Amino acid sequence: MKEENIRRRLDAFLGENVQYDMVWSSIYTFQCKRMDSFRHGRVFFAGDAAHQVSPFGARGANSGMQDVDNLGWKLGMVMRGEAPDSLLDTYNYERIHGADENILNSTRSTDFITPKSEMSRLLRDAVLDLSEKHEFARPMVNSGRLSVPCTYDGSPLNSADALDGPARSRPGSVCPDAPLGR
Amino acid sequence: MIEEAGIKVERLALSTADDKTGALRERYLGDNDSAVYLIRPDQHVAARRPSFDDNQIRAAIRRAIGKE
Repeated sequence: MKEENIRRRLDAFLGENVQYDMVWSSIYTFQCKRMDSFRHGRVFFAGDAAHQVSPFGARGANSGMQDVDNLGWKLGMVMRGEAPDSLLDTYNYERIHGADENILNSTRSTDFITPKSEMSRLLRDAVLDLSEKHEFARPMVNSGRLSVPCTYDGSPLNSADALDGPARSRPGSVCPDAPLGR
Repeated sequence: MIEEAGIKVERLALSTADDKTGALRERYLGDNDSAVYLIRPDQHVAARRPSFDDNQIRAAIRRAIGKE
């Protein structure tokens, strides 16, 4: 955290003789964790208050938005008396599913970038070496994939899939885009 | 429009004539000639089937709002 150490790293990256002021610095610690339950009676937790991920794949803010997309319509229906209170338990079920998926993927990226064990470091280094010349290894390079909304497989709100159709639009999945018009 | 369990569900009818890029077929139909999708307010699919069935869709609506 000493300024000279930070400057040394920045100078290696920016080039020498680049002038800049250091306004603020801190250590950012990756967190990958979530609450056991996002609902506590009449209190709901969403976004970073409920779950945290290391910053790979734009998962943090996006999952917060997906949380409130999930919660908003359910809360509205319950408050208008259109749905039972138990509908709000499915916010917990579905968004825990989402949080776990994000944590899994984010952790995988973190482990690739900063391996935690001897074996995972060996594997990571081998993938990087091989991917230089060999196509097959390149998909294994995990520097952080852009996240996609999760599919609520197994959610109690889904009906059984009665269409022998594309997997990407199965019950629980977010509707894929499809440009329309004549 | 369907009204079930006190909520109104809008109907959106599309045809492959609207599908200039083929994305509708590829992403929603596959090999099927037709499909009916029930979509939640958060744009997640709640149910789908090859054709419209009044009882099944009503059951799917109730299920999607936690009523069964």
